[in-house]
Amino acid sequence: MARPKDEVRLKMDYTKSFFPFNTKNSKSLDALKDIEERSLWTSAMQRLIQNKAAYISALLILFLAFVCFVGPYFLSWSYDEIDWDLIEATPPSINNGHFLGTDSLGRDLLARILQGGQVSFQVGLLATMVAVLIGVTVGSLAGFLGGWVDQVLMRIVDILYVIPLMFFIIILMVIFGRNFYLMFIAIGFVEWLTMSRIVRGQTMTLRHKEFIDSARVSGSSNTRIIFKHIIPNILGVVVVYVTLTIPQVILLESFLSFLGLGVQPPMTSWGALISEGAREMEITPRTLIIPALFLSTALFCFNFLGDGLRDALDPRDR
Amino acid sequence: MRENLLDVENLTIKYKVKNGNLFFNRYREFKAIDQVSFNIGPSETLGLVGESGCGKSSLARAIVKLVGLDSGKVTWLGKDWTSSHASTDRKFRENLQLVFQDPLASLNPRMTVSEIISEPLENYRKDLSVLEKIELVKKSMETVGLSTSMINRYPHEFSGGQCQRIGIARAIILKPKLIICDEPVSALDVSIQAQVINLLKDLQKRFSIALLFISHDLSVVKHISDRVMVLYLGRIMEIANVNDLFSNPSHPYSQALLSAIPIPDPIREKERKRDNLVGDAPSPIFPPSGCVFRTRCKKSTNICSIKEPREKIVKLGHRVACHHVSDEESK
Repeated sequence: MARPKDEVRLKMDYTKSFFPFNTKNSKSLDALKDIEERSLWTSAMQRLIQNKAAYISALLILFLAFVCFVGPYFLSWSYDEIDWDLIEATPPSINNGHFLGTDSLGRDLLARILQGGQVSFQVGLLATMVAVLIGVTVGSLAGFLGGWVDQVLMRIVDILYVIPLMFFIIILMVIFGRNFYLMFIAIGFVEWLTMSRIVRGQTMTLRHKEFIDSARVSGSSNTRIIFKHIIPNILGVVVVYVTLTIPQVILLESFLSFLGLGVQPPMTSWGALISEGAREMEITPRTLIIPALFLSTALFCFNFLGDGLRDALDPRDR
Repeated sequence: MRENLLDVENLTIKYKVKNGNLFFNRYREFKAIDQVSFNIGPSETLGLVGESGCGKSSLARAIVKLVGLDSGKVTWLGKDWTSSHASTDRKFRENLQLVFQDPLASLNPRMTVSEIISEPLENYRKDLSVLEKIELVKKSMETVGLSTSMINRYPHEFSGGQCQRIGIARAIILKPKLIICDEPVSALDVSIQAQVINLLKDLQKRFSIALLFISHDLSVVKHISDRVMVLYLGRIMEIANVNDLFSNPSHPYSQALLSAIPIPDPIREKERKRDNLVGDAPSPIFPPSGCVFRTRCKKSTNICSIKEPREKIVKLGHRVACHHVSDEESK
């Protein structure tokens, strides 16, 4: 918006810069405001908003999440309530309050989809967040410090990689019993490994860049270098990996639910709804298609948002 | 006698190269810098010239401790720096800044100019408020000839010369006593080179900063330096005042280097006698025995391959490492 003005100012200043030792100090306090506004995240937000697809996706995700978490309070049926009059799957109707019909047990499909959305959003976002936090910390430490720290951390990752997921889950179930929150542990446990490897590789390429050296000469500590220089520069890759992880996690959750860890009927999730619907798709394709539509919309949006975030986090892409 | 800012004594840096097969790692050590001694006084410019790969950058990096040194002693402001710990390193570094070769690569692409330039302030002047820091950043930008309206831009929006100015602005913001310039102009256009060099010269006068100016461009070094040090395969060949070196080079290597400077006058340029060096510099991994320069030296004799030349003092402050020098001088 202020672009044309900027251009003029820039031209004027350009002529000034030919006289390098202009000691006259042009104190303009209003310029100070700009500086605070243009940190990495705020300027990334500005660029994200300019990207229509990403912006709409972000809004759509927020809308979906809002509907999933608030919607159930406005429905006349709850997700586990069986409508004994419609015990078999019935098509959508406005009259009986089942706006998307019922499933094969006579439960309201819309209510179940919204409930399942709650679970899927929680799992998808929280488990991914856990994976990112652990993965980025471990990966950047290993890549940046190198030496024995790198060796130890990466060997731990190697060992964890070879433990089969099924085996790990069965052990978890034996020790803790069935628990919804164990699912986060199980998923986070699997997902952070790849994350840490990716981040480590990126960090190692960054470590020998000159701007890291120059930061060190400027007196920056290792912590500052990791948080101020390394992590902002690997965020693009991390964000892309996150958008790949979220759908993976949501699908993994339905697999875990099938094994008995995670959500149990009548509680549900999008993954579980789809696998239920797939069993009956010859009779009532509706029970497969509608949850699948919700899930794929959400995943599409996550991917667009991730793409947009990656571009927005890189100031070189305009 | 004035006190030196920086004293480097017998500095040696060894690097390892992998030299093994698929199953066994063997390492071969070689000396990138071998027994180098020099000093820098307050507000003096020491030029450092040498071919690519002779260890100029390693030397600069060793002084600021980006590269570990294997033996020798670096004394900074009268205190031994080689044995100090990481925590005291930070204090030392406050007065010692580095300007890098590649202007764009030395700036974090995700940071705005103000964040880049204020980084030393964030580390050393934590007592300052945000506004004070920004004032200092702006002052520093004006000093190096950057418009303060560019304070919110990212490095990729600048030209190479402007990026180097940003790097210099970052280096001077703490008013350091010594700035090491690691080939600050080699990535720039000739016209921009002149601007940046004059900027450095002016800054030096204004703030009485000492410079260690690394370059492979002799005319640049002649223009900016008070003293010049010639490096070859990690050894000092000659160190002298700029006038002594350029009017009366003693070491055959310096003579060859100086004869390679083109003269901006076509008639004299045609008559210019060049004694070109033959071949490439030998690999520092397998340096020649005795004098490292003997493989390309015109004056090379038997003794050169047997004994490594000791540094000889030709004149006060003029040291040369060559077997043939003192003979010539005594005649």
